[in-house]
Amino acid sequence: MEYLLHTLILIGIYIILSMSLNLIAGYTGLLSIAHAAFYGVGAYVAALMALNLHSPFLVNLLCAIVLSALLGALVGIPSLRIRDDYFVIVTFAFQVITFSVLSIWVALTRGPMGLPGIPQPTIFGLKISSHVGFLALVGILCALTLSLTQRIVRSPFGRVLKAIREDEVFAQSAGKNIAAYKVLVFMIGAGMAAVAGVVYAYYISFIDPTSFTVMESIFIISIVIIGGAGSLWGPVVGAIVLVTLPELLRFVGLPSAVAANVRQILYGGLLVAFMMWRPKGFLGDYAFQREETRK
Amino acid sequence: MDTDDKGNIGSLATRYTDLRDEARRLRDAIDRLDSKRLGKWHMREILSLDGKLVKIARSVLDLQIETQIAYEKRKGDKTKNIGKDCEVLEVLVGNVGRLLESLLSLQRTNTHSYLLFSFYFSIAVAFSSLLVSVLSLSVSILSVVVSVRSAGAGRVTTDLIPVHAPGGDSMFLQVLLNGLVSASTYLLIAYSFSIIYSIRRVFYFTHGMILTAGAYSVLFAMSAFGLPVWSAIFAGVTAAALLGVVTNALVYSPLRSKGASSAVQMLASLGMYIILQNCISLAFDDYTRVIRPSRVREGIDIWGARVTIIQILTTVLGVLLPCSCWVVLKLTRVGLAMRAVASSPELSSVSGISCERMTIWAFFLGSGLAGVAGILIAWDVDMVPTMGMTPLLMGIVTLIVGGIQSLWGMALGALILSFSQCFGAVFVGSQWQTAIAFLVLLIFLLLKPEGILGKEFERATG
Amino acid sequence: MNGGVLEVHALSKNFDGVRALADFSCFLRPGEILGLIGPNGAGKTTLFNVVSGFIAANSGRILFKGRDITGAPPYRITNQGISRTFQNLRLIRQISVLDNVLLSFQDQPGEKLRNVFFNWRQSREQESANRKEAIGLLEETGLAHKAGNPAEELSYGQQKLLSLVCCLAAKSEVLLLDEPVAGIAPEMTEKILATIHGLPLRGKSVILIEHNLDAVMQVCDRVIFMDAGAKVSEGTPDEVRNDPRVIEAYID
Repeated sequence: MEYLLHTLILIGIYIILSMSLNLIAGYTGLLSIAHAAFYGVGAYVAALMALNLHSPFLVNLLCAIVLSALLGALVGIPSLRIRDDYFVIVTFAFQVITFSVLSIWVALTRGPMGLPGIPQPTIFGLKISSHVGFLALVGILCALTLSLTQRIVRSPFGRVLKAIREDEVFAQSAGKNIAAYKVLVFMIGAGMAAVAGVVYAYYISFIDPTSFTVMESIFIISIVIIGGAGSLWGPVVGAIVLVTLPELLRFVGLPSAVAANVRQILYGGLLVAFMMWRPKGFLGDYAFQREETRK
Repeated sequence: MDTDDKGNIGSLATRYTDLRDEARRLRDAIDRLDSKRLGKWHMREILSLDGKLVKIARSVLDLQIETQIAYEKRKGDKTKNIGKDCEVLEVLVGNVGRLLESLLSLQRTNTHSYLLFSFYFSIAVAFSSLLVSVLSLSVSILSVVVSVRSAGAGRVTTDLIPVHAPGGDSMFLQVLLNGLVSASTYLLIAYSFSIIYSIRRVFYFTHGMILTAGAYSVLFAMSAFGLPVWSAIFAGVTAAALLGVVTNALVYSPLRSKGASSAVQMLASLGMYIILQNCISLAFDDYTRVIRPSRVREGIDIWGARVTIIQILTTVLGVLLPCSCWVVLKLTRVGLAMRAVASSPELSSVSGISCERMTIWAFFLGSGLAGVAGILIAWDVDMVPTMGMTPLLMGIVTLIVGGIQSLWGMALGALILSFSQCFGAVFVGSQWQTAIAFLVLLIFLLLKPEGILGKEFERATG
Repeated sequence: MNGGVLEVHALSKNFDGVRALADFSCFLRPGEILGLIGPNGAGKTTLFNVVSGFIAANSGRILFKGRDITGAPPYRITNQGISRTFQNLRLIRQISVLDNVLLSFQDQPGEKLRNVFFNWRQSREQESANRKEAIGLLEETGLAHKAGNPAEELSYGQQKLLSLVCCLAAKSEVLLLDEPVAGIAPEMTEKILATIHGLPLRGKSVILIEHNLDAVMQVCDRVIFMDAGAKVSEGTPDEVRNDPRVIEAYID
């Protein structure tokens, strides 16, 4: 039962992560491998504040969102000048640099030793300590993320995002300041990812840099793509599939060292398979295909 | 202006007929040769014919580019009454293309080309063995001389010397030498990546795993089959090359024929990377492995800076291999075809050079070189399954900073990158090297997206 | 110059040594339809690209209603009141016809993030007002029956008409139309030309690039003939058609 709750909480965290990346990559077409950096920054900011300043959960959450959004803006700015493929490498760069900072700036983050002993959150007087409590928290945050995303996507703002994805030049000639939209969408996505990071930090009560590597970024983008980029419920489906499927491996009885590798092979294989046969994913809308080629 | 243009078409047509006749004569000469029973004593004749063939093919390629340009110009000019010129040019473009293809496919399967291949191959083997023996000889002489000189101080040790350890009398020289070693590794990796990238214009991240696979294949060959080092290396490089070709055939080629965008292919390559890395983890587990022969652990002292034989070998190969490949690509038929396809994919589809076949060659060559790089890195700092990602990213950074089209640019990019890292490491510590590399990348991309000596970038708007 | 709504002064643009625009000047009077003709490579589309902000000129100035807009980014130029269509027909093919038109409206509160969250009602109201107007425009031009279909399902001619409707939705005073009837069947050509003809009555001014000389003669008040980036001839359609320099350039 505990195990089931744990899985559900993880699914919830990844739903938030993949929904936020879906806004950036699925709706606006900006493929990014930097999402684990936003996730990690959110987690570390909240953890450091909780451990050193003993500030309340909501304050930490807010600061995590703000700082992550700033990092998001930094990542978004190069997208204005740098073409798609090269921009992916740039997001790689941000991811690696953030990871380096987290693991090397030992004075601040204790580096590879991580931050243990993150206290349990107290929200409006309620202390959240059990799995059920965390599940409720994650559930509420998921619902909030979902409704926020839905509002954005169905608004004229969302329409412009889709226009940027399909034909930037047309969007500009229609009077849209695409630079502002790109930077904004990165800030929103980063802020949301930070929320997931904060929940993760409090739930596991110990974080270290190895949870926020390039591999993690690739995992998140895989969820977005397999679930269906550019669709509202795609990330939910993707998170459920990619989090539970490898967990099923446990019942097959593989030794744990092997299981970790097999799990990764599984999701790598899913990614390749979907790219080959169904690039739009399960509920897909967008397959990262540009109709217009280079001029 | 009209008469000028007409004259232009006329001269193009004349050149075509001349080249076509030359090619015909060449083909006859080759046929005559083939009708005899060929042996090694005919080598000189074969080589001279082959040289002529490459020369003619080069002229045809130039002619084709000019014809294509003239055709494009005519086609776009709707208001001029030059329909007939357009037709003539269209036919000419097709003919020139077919001539090129027939030249390049001359004698694909018979004794002639087999002999030629074995000739080149034996030259390559002879050259490499000569190189290696000269290298080892000079290194042993050096170490003897040095140990004699500093016998009193007992400087030469048999301990493992880590790559970037500062030490010795001269910090500056040490950093300089470290920088040169890194730069040559980056150059090798970047060049191997560029061979594939210039033909397909997609970042295939699996390249990092191919590098790793090269090193692990050597390990496998030595431990499972007990092969001696030198044949294990050959096995490793071949395995890497084949892995590249197989990945292309299984994943990238089908994707391309479905018209997948470069983003989709990049994502698939990331998926392949994950699969391959975990397969290697499963087969060889995650602990550090060593494939270095114990004899070469010694470090040499040069004017106060330390460098190992492996590092010297890496530097030499890192420079020599890209340069010799570059020369080979310039002079051989296959190389010529690859360069034709790389410079203009549209052109190649008209001429009929099989883009797919050239891609297979590119993967073979590029992956083989990556395997060499992986082996050299493993010799230097041992290996883990995750060893490939960082070198790959460094290679990509070098490629972007230095520009894709030019070997000089890549060399310059490699030097800039590695020296920023080495000198930066002196100030902020060596763990920041990757971060420094990416900062260099960001700076270059924001200031000069086309790299140092690369071609101009097309802009998003038009 | 003549108090034109759009004035172009001595615009020059070089691409790798090719002179796309050579000291080109022209002006557009309010309520005028100006035709721009000339051989390929004459610089017509380059002129549009420079005026609409997609390319920066090497020298020269552009004035819109007396205000200098040289070097402004494309979105701001559209915000000011100049719209354009593209020679290779740009639209968002994957979304509906109606959505394309809705996208083209200016000053939408719903496009500002803070309104999406904090002033949703105003966004929604404006959106339904825009929607009514968009459907009105589509009905006028005979595209209303396809309003919900993805734009890629329209015929080529209908798509060109749609891009014109988008310019109307933007409520621009100046429209730059790049080959609005090229490659279209005669029936649709008539419809589009009729719409263009009616634009001055709605207070709009138009510059029109076309190779179809009949269309140009039919609809334009004034014509400029360009070649090699420079103005060769200017005047009424008849004057330009009979200009010996123009005849020479076309027949040669």
